[in-house]
Amino acid sequence: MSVTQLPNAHYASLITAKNADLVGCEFDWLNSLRVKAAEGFSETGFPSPREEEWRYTNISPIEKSQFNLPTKAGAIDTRFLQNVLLDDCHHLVFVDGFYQPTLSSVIDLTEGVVVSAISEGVSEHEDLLKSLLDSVVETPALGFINFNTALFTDGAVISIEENTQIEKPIQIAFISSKEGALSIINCRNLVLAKAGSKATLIETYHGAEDSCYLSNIVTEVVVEPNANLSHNRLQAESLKAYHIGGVYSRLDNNAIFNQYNYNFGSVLSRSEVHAELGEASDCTLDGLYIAEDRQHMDNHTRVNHAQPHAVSNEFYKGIMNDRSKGVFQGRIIVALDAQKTDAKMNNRNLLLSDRAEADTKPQLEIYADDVKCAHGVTVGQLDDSAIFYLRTRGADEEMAKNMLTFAFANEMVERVKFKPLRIKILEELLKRFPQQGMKIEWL
Amino acid sequence: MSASNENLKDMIGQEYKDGFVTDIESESFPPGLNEDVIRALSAKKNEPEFLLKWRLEAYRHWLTMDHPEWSFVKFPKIDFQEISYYSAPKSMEDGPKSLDEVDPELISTYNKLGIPLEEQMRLAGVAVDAVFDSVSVATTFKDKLYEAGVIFCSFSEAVKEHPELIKQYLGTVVSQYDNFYAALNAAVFSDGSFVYIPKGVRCPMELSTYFRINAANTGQFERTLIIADEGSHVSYLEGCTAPMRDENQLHAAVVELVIMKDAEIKYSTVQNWYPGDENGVGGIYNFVTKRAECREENAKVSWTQVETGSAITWKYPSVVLKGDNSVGEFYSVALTNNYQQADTGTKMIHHGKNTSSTIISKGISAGHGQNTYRGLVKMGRKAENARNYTQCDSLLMGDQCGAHTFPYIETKNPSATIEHEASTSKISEDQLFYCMQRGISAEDAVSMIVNGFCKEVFKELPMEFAVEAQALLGISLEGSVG
Repeated sequence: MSVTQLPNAHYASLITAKNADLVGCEFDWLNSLRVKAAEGFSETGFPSPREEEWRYTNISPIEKSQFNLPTKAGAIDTRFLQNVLLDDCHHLVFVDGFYQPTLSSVIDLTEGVVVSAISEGVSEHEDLLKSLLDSVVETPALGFINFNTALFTDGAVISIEENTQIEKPIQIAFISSKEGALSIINCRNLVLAKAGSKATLIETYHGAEDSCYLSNIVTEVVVEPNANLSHNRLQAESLKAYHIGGVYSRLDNNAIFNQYNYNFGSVLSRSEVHAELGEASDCTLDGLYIAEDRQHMDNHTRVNHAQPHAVSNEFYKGIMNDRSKGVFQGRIIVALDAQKTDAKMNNRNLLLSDRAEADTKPQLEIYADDVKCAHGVTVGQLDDSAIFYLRTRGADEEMAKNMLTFAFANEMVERVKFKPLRIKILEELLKRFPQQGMKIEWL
Repeated sequence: MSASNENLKDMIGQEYKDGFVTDIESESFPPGLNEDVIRALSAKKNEPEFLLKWRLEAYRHWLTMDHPEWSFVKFPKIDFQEISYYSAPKSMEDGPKSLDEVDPELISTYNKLGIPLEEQMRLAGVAVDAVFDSVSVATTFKDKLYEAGVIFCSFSEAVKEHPELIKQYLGTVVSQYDNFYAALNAAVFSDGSFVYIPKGVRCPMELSTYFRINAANTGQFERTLIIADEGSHVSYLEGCTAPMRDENQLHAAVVELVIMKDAEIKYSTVQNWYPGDENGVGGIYNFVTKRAECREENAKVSWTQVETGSAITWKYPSVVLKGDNSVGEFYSVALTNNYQQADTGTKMIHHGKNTSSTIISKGISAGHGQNTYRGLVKMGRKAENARNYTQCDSLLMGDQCGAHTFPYIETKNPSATIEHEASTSKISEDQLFYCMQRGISAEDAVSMIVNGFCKEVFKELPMEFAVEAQALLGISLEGSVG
């Protein structure tokens, strides 16, 4: 895309004034990486809606808000934290972009497994960082990725040893405190699932109520041959926050990667899930976005079938109420040699109000001839006859509509295998139907 | 050309010996584009003041625009200062003297398409006697149309004869500011067609550019305007199946259709410009803006296109469904072989209640061809109960080609229903084997299967066109099966 605009002066100044004590500043290789990203950012700035990939999402409110870089973590209420942390998990907790060892708990790990924060053991994990950082994100990097690379303050670093299975899921919790209002959380997560390993990751995003901030998170994932990684994302930011989140993954031969993406929070969010598939790998990308009021949710996926025999399945559902806007842009690319590819993409949208909007763009880009590729899209409203059926059984109109909407969404929630997370997602979902007597215990 | 420049000047001098000769009467403008060129062009065509003003507005706006980069086609940057924006129609004397002088490859294609000898001469630009039938045919047609009240003439003629209609409708569907190439076209368009069907008239025959005698040299910036007034009906055919050679590489045309209450326009295109040779050298860039506006209720418009030619085809015949209950249809076959590229599809923009649209797109890629379907379906806030059905199928032949699908779906009304289906497949070995086992050669079998794949679109074409289009597909695919 040749559309260029000058980078926003405020954010450009944040980069040039970058504080010398950013994590890993003792490494020359990292500093030069940051300099390169800063240069990239100064050329492009944040993307504009004139770029094809951003045509439905205008991030000018972020530019106008002039968020600042946080210097330290704010205080977190224990009750709030209790509510965020999931049972039966390892926890890595980041507040305002800084790792909080006292709030985190990682116990009984198999030897050779690393579950830590970048700031915790920079020198200890230098090789790991060096091999993963900036290795999976697309080049040339987008404005937000460059911004992240130049300024990230911390993030999780996870490496699963060969042929090892981690029993408990690993929760990476990002929290914005009250003091974190008007600041930017720049975190970078690096994940390596070595050959034959198996693990489950959960990223969660929460913020102090009605607090306005920006989360700009990049997660880079490498899944080695025969490894199996499940990656879940629950975005329940404050309803006034902005969220830009990207999961960039590379799958080696026969790898399995399942990504589940749940979006409830923030006034404007953009999630990017990219996967590059190796030979005979298997990739699932599922998502649910539920928007109300004036929320804007943009979901972007990109599956690159670079090698033959890989399978990919994508299923995203959106529910838009009030004056909200939901966007889905998916792209499947099948490279010249990727014969016998089997790729599916599906997007279903439910519009609940006259003022809501759904924009969807399912794209296929195919360069190989012996492939199976399909995409399907629907946009519509609730089925009148289904509502009528429920009403004949005594449900009032609102209840009938709620039941059907809930069922539409629940199909995606049921895909989460780990129960504490599923309950947490259901809780978020039920918040959208407060007047109804639906109880979580029934589900 | 340069060698015969002197002769040409002499000839032009002769032809104009009864008239006056001024500076602007030179046979062609030097390459370059600025306001003076546009003024000279407009003066040369004796255009009224409003049209010149309109052209200049377009040009000034064009200067502020960037070249669009979002498409999926690749080509070297075009230098708009290297193009000559006016050249007089070529004299008949300049062309080949007989069919013997024409490229034999071209002749053999004509024969395969079953084009009569006289037509072959006309197409190849062979100088023929004025007695030649196409002129007389056209005259008979003109009388018949005149009786019905239909206006069908070249754009320049319409500007002179019916300036009030031009003033009323020009640029109301595709404005002079619309997009990069539409603005350029508005600034420098040379000629084109104009059709007006009065209230309640059903056009007695299918209108075709083919029969408009001066259609051959409308140049690279063509502009078509068709108005179907209340309750009228017209079927319009553009282009022809025979391959056309042209030395202008860039073709940026604009087509505007206005459809009033209860009226219907059926617009069929068969495009077979020179696609370049098998190594992708040369070939036409076909960048067209086509848009129809269903202004009032129950209006209907149907685009049918068969795109087999051009090195690059880049166009999206669109429909704005403003009137309630109006209907838009789009049927397309786009074929890319060798190094051809196509980025084509449609836009259906629903504003009225109960509007409906259908999109059937068939893309065929062979050789190194890249074929992209890009379509927009937009349901406005007031488009109650609007419906859309989209089906886009791609057929891949060979492992070096590409087929891409980029649908855009934007909905602001919950009662709108949108269905989108897409599939990508290749010609199966089984199908080929079955045909060959029955004595059909591989090439014929492929052509047969491809024609079956495109049947849904071909059945929308007028009868003779459909037959020719089938033959055309076969020829365009020649050499794509090893």
